[in-house]
Amino acid sequence: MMMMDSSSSLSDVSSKIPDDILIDILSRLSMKEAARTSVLSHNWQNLWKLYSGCLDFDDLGISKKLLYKGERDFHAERTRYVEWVNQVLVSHQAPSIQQFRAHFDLDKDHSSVIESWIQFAAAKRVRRLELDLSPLFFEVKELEEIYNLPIQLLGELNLKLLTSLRLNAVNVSEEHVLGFLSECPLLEELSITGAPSLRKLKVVGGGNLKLKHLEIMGCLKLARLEVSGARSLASFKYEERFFNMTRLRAYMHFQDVPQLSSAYFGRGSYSLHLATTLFKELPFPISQLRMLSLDTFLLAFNMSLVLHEEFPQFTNLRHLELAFGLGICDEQQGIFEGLFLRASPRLHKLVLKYDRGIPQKNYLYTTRISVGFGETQEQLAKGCKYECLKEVEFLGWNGLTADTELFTHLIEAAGSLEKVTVDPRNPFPDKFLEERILSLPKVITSMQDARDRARDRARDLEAKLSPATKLVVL
Amino acid sequence: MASKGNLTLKSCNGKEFIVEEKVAVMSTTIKNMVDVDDSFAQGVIPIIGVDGKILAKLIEYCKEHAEADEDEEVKSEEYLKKFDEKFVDELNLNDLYDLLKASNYLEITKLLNLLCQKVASMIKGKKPEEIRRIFNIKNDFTPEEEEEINRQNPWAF
Repeated sequence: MMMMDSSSSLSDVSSKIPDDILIDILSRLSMKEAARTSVLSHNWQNLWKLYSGCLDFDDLGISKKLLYKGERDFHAERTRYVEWVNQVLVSHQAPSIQQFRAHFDLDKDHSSVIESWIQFAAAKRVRRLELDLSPLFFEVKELEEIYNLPIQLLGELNLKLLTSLRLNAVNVSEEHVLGFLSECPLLEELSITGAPSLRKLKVVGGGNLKLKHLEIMGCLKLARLEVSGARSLASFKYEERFFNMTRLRAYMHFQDVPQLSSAYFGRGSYSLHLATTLFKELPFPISQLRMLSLDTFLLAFNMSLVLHEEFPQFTNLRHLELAFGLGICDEQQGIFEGLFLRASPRLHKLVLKYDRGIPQKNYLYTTRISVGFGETQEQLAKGCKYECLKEVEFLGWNGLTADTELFTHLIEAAGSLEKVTVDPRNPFPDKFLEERILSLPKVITSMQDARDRARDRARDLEAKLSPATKLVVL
Repeated sequence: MASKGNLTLKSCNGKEFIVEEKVAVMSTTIKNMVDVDDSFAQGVIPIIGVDGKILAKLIEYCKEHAEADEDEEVKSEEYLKKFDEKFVDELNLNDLYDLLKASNYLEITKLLNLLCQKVASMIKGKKPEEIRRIFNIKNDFTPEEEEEINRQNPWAF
């Protein structure tokens, strides 16, 4: 018996390997998985407390379902969340952590506890810090309720090792952002979402500015954004509720950003003389762009002008993503796609995302009429060859005329196409609808029917593909 | 006696390996020894606590990676990835532990990372019972103790 015990413990990883390696191993797991090892044996029980990976406090997936169904009380969930984080932080003993991430709808009532978390993270020399306190039921937090990050806290913290900072529904102003940029010399990623006090932002970089990724989302009061001398900046993401792209240049200005090659503009409204103004108004040279992603909320332009006005050339664009919101008509959408395709001779990858609501016969949102190529679209596509195009993804594909005509056009005009992906699922699932309406058995069945039909339509088109092109239907 | 540019490494059970210096200095520990004391570069470097079998494995790994570092054209990233995968997949549990310890002691960071990642992937997504089985861990808790631990961190289970 004794012999057996010693021979089996010979191979037990925890007795063979020094604790610091075991902790290194645990730190590569998620926090939950690391904590679960506490139940393995006495040797393991306390090891996870030295976990130095990502302290990721995100349980929303489970909470949300119960909250939407009304099975849980929101305030009780909040208290439970705060207790969970506090309990783990109290038992945590590692001298450093890679990441601290909190994700729950909290506001100024929780100021002191949020501050204690930030202080904890700073004391652990955190590399990546994320606070996502965004509201569960509404889009943005109002000034009266949002958590305000005290500016003096910045001076008290040591954030020298921070490489990524993401704040959502944490109110900050220009002073905070500039403070972070000067206090965190290694900062590569900065994301600010839903900060009502961010009215203007002027980032003047020097040779030391490491910033690579800048995201400004849903800061509704932002009236001026200037970035200059950010010589490492590679990507910029901007999203605002229904902003007007044509006004962009009036309040946004980029200068001396030689690495900037990836841009995302979210939920824009593209109206008026699209072709003449829009993309000449991008706040940096479009010849730098290799990746562009546009999420359109509204398309409304004068079709008779499209063919006569000069549309800028995206000479270096490799990867294009176009997302179309609910209620954009197929014809306008088709012209938008056509303009970009024609202007992007080096395009390798095209991703199209369509929000078509719930694919159900009797549902309000699906009464859109699907039309094929109109006259303008036909003209745009005429004679176009997309020599570099290798990959196309249709997300939210419904298999109706607009989709199949574009599909057919692309496979005819893109000679080196390697892969077409068709996914009938909605790429923009509405979280609330999903929990409430989409869980009704009747809706589920008719949704599945519609998706199966869309998949069948895609498979029908497979015969048109050249043998070198692979079709993936999801 | 190793020729110029080569070093002789000696395992704890007396096996000697002649390796190119660029291969040996993938180990920060060996690099520091050679940098500080010239005589190591001439004579034999004893690798304490590492037997011949494990040392041979370490050298096999370092050889591939040293050559790749020198000339990216010869060995692509993809090639190395495949090599790494095969390298860790072929290890039995005891060799895996011994290599972890040895690469930690010799400070071969790339290999240590690879091995830690391998062990982490063996734990990932598994139930405690499965993890115990894979690593021969004896559950020395009483059912009451186990219950108590589950109760302390209910969010993890």
